[in-house]
Amino acid sequence: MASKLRAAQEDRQQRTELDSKTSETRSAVVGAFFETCFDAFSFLVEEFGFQRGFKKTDSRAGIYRVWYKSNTTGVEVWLEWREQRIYVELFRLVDGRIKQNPIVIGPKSDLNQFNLEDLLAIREPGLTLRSRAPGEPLTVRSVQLFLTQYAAALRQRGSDILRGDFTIFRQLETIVKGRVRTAGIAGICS
Amino acid sequence: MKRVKAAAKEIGATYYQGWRIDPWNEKLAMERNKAWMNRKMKEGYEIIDVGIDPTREVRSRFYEMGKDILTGYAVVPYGEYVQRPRER
Repeated sequence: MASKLRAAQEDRQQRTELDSKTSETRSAVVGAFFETCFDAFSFLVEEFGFQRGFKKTDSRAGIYRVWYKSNTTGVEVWLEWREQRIYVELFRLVDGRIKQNPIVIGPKSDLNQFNLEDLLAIREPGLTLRSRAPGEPLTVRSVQLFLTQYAAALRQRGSDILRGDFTIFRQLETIVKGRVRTAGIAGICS
Repeated sequence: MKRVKAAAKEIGATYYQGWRIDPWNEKLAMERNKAWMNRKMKEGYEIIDVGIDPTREVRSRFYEMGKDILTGYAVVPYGEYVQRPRER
């Protein structure tokens, strides 16, 4: 057991060293993010009547976002530099606006925002989008790959939401609130 | 991260950003984050825990690391902090 742990630690150490040698600059990765995002998610405008996408940058926090909105639905695509993570969120608009979930989610919280990965876990459980090992840095290539995959998956598996049918949100809410309960038991959730 | 940013903005707190690490080096980011947290603890800062982001399946590695460092330190859950009566 201990030797397995040591081997895993050594492997991780080697990977981290390799990462620092192969990492690409933030401007290259973020540039690829915006460019690919507008291209891959253009179907929202062309097929689903969304307004054109808008980009938002918070360089100090390392948070980058492109957001789209229709009359009923919001889609936000995020890149977080510190987490080296890209993700897509789906919104049921509230009074025509994108409203983030409350910071603390409880059993009675109104949720209007869900992660695309949870939707895909229900509708296409076999699909694995995380082709990157945890902690591996984003590259121009991986950003292009993730965004293209996410866009294709949303187009194929989320058309009801994109057209304003949020029936599936009930199931997604059960998943999210289930995580809150589990975390509560472990004593880490506020 | 965006929840941390939103929560920090809401209550006027600071948080470790890690934006200067370019190109990305996770080992370095973790070390700097640890050092930042240790410094804040030594200085006696009150530390607020925003908890997990339940809309994501995979937990943040930084959050997990933070939990380990803070073992034994009095951390205030965000929900509790915002319910405190405010000085006027």
